[in-house]
Amino acid sequence: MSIEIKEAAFSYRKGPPVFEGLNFSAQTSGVFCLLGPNGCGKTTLLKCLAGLVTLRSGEILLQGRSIGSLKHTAIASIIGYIPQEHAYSFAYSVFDMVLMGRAPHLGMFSSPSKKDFIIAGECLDRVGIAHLRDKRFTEISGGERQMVLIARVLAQTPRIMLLDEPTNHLDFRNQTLILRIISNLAADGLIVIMTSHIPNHAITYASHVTLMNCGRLVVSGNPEDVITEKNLREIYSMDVRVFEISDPLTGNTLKFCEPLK
Amino acid sequence: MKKHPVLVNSALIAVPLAAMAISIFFGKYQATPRDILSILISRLWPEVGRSPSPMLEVALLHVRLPRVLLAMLVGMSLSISGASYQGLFRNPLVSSHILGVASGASFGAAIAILYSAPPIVVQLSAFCFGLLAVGIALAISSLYRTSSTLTLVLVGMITTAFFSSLVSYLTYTADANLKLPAIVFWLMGSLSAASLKNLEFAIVPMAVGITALLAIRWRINVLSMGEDEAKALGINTGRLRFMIVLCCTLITSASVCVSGVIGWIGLIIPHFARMIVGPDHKALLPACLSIGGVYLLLVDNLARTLTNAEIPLGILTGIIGAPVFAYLLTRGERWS
Repeated sequence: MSIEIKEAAFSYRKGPPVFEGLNFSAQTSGVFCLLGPNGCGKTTLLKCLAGLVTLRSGEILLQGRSIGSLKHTAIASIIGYIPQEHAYSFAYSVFDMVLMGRAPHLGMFSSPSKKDFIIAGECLDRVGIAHLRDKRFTEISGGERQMVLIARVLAQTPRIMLLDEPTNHLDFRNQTLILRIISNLAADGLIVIMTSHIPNHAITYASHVTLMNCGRLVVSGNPEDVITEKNLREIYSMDVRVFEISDPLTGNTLKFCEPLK
Repeated sequence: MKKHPVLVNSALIAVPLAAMAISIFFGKYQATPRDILSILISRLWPEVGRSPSPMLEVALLHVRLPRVLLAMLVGMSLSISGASYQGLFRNPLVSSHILGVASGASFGAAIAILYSAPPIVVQLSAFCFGLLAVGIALAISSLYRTSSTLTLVLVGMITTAFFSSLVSYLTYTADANLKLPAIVFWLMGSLSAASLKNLEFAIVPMAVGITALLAIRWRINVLSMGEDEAKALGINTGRLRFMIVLCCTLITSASVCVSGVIGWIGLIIPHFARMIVGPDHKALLPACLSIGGVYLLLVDNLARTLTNAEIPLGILTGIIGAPVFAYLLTRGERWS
């Protein structure tokens, strides 16, 4: 599976472009992390990739085919998307939520069958939340909700996963749990494209990092090459130091960045 | 959560059947189970038994039975469309009349009454104007570029306000002795005109709409995730939304044209059903059919037996529904 963006531009109505001249491609499994300041166009780019909004110009190719020529169900059985904020409606059970991920594989007039129940159950197991099965989605914690949404995307059996700030609003531990789940999924063969505001997450978990600023992709590549003091200063307009230390206990090299006070 | 699904499901099937059977006995003509049995036998096997009284037979088969069936059907229709709209608009405060179907139908009925049209024309006019009002709402909402459900709600308010004003004008100018009572009685809802003809008229659009809603009911869950998430889950949101609106309009128009405007049911029955079976539309819509049908049937039994004169249904559904709903909210499980 591969996803490719060519000379993409987008604008709302007749407004100024949110982004333009974007080129990007993900050919193999891995975690592709998109970093950039607020309002630089990351969320809009993900929505375009998910086929929710259409580009003003340029194209998005899914395995060589233009996304505009594919039906919603065809896109949804390849691409899973988790928005930044989930808008609540009714207090569905966790299992019912995950079951909804089967929608792209079901006809207009059919509803989930035994096979879909089994798949939804497996997805709960895979994310490690089988115990939440009968809980109401509105009554579990933020971290648990994010895991439910990941399980729902998995029930779509996608090849590509788009996550908009998956660690948003989560505590220290849950951020790590979600990122571990994500990197395990990438190791299992998924292409994960996620946006983030935390460069350290990209350093530790991403296989590929792209920096975005003011509607343009600034630089793209390995985390080591991309996350440098110079690049971070350029997109965030402040001084950031990148540290590399050797963990005295394990001997592993740890890399992280921190803005100057 | 789902404590005794088998028990709940059996009750949802058994209670409406029992309620219908019992309701046949309510009314001015007293009938015993024996009478009804012999009427049934005389109808099915004329050579075996004879009808005890032709008068009673007419009262039961041509007046009471259609009325009982219509009460069930109207209750079912208003509840299932209310539940579907609550899912579509992701809002537990909307009801079956949200897109202006009731005020459109009221206008259609009022203008036909004003021109002294025969009852069948009043119904037909109500049915067509109900469809027209929603059609106008959809047409206006398609003029806006955003396809959001919020636009649809606002446009529904616009058509409701427009047709309500027209109805107000008609009632204001209507002859206070001849026309006004008929219009007002119609606006408050009643099944007193129920007949086999009414039943035949309403049952086809209702059956079509209800069947289609039941067929797509699981997808309403996905649609209630919101526009972006539903699309990302592979739903053609525009098409699904249109289908739901079409089905709901068909069945509510058919209801309103035989029963007049009956409020509250489309709002509270879905809540009541959610407390029993949870918010999953797969279970919710069938539960609404059962509970809504029984509720309107019981209310209609009261409407026709409580006093000598008929009490308009729209009044009773509110008087009974409001306190019951207030009580349920304080103790029931919160699902929305």
